[in-house]
Amino acid sequence: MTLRGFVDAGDALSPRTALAGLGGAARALAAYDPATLWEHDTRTLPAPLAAYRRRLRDFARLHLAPHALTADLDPHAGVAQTVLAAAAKAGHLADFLPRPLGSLPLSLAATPAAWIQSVKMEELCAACGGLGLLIGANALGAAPLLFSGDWRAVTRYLLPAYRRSLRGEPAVFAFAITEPGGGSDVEDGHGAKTYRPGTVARRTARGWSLTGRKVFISGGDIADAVTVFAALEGEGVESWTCFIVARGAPGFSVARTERKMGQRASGAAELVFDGVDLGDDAVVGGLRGGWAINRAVLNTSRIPVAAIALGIARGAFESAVAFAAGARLGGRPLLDYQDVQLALAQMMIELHAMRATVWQTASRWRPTQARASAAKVFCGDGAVRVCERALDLVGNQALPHGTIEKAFRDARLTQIYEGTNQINRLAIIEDQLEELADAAESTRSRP
Amino acid sequence: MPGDDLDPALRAAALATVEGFVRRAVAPHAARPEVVLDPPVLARLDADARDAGLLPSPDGPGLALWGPETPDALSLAMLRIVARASAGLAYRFHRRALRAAANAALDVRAPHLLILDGPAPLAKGALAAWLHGRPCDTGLLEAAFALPGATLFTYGDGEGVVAPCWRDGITWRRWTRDTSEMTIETAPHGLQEAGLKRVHLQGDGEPRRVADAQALYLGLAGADALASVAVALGAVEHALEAAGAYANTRRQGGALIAEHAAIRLLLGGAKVSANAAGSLLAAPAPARGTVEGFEHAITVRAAALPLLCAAANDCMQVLGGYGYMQDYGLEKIVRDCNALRGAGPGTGDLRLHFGAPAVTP
Repeated sequence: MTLRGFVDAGDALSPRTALAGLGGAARALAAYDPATLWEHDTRTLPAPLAAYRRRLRDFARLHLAPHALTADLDPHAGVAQTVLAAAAKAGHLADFLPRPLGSLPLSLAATPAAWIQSVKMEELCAACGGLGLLIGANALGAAPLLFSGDWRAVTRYLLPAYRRSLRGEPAVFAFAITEPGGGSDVEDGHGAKTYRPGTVARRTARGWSLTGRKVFISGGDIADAVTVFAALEGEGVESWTCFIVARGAPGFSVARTERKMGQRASGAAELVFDGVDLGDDAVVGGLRGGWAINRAVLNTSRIPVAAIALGIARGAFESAVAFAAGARLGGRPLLDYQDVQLALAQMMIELHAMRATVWQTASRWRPTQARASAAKVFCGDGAVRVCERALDLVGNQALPHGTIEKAFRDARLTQIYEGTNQINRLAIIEDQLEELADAAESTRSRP
Repeated sequence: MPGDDLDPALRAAALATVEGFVRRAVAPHAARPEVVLDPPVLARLDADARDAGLLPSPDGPGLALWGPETPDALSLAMLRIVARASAGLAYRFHRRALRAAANAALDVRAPHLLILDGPAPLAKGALAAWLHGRPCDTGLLEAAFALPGATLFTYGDGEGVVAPCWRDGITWRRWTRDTSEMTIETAPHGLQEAGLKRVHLQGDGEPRRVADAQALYLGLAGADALASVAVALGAVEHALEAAGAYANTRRQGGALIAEHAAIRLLLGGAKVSANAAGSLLAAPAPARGTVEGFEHAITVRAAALPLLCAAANDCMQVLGGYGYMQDYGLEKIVRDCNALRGAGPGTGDLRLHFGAPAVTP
């Protein structure tokens, strides 16, 4: 079986046959069995992470893919609850910590969290960007608890949530930094310097009173607890403090969820804090520790966000392959046509580059801001390109509601959230300031 | 087809009428981009468009879109004006007008849905070879046009279907309600207002005689190609205005975002793309209905639509998170531009058309 323009795998000129005919040592160096791209990539991972990837793919195929289009058309149809329950039962809401505290297999305890989360997000979002975000936003919401280094906060808030989830009752967190007057301002130092914070914590006799609004909070509509970043009264963003606010706290409400272009299965909520009373035990990571926690979280979370983009793009590619395999033209499958093969090859190239970027960046503990932002920008832009290519390939078949046009709408958000790709480019420069400023200084001092 | 030698005063009056119609009838409905317009609302807008002379009325075509007396440049200018308020409504009116032109040419009384593209528009270069008198793979050509049994997509509605087909040459055929299955697509990617239909044709239909079947197809397909650019351009002009207004009110880092190079690059890039697309659209065109006219039209489409899609995305990006939300209207413009690109030959199809072998083997 072959495609037009290529020799059959059994032909002497096929690389399969030729390489298999090499002598022992040469064959060991060069020959390999045919396998899917997915399988080849998976085999390059450390064994525990490869096994994890397989489990996530199976989970996504079983629990996310069947609901992707329904959840996109009607986000309030109850699909979210079904999927979260399945994710909780499978341990995908408690995987920041190893067993028995969380659900992470001990074999993965030494693997950087960003890599684990990136592998997870690619698999989930290849099935559905929105449902993937629904599950992944929980990790973002919980991240400040871990990055605070505040073990009391972990014990008080994260472990009980994990225990609940592992019993099959989803307990999810959301991460709230964006304000109506400041999206980019709270993502980079230059903007933060001049920004007047809209969410403020006022000292009271019992602790704190929180007032303000946060917008576009992924999963904020369903979160059991929200990690909220607020300035201390009278101070600027440098005083940002992370507070944890439980759903149902008096004064805390969800004002609305947005009507988004894509990733619709996950709500983007506007949260209102109208004099929410909090005790000192609601402070995570100490007073004025929020800005650093925020930056630390983003330096890690931008990598799984790159993986979200990669997953969505891969989903579009897989749909494009399925279309080209099923459609016929002139009595032949569309896959037989060289222009179609070239388009698919270009998508594979982009996906390969995106995955290499994500895995290389994610495979180290303590990622840098520049590398995380570079991965996010490269993959966000790449995902939109891949989806556009898929749209072009299927032509008018992508006009009605379906997987490829949905993938474009889902991918487009990856160029915006976690900092727009413009802000992320500036974040790269910010992270290399010493090097660039030194270079500028050295030319300034030249006669 | 008429050349653009219309009396300037008449042209100005026609455009002013369209602008008034847009202000009065279209803009109020386009003010809430997140709201999907109901069929009764759309029907009223069609009636308003007929009263305004934009769509042909029983009293006569006047200077309606794609009317026998209407220069192409005027039709494109009118579409661009409507698209500044709503690309979906502009494309709706365009397809209705094109349907009327096709139905009149084919002497079909009740409105019949017009399908211009088959599953493989331009047939991977085979149509180019045919049009230029070179040997070609005629097995591919039938897929360039309406193909019974295939899943076809088009915009509009009708009592039946008329479409060009391949029968050792381009011919026109008609299907009735009984021999065509039409399904409304309720959640299309874009151009919600234009009424996307999924169509399956049963049987071969019946032939419709027309003086020059090929010229009719080339003329209508060429008009559709140019219209898609005019509509996208109008939409992008609105997007530029909205993004520019936002950039001049939103502050970040202590300054208006309009002052930041990152935003200026986005807006500037979009402006350059819109200007380039406008120049392509305004370029003198060979007569519609000829091979040269058709290939001019699809060249304009091939070059301009990708630019306009990128421009729409850049304008949406200026608004950051707000741009992604339906109420701001920018994401709809991106989707509408994507749909205009999908409703016709794609980038690959167009490249294969012009890259078809020029030499007879």
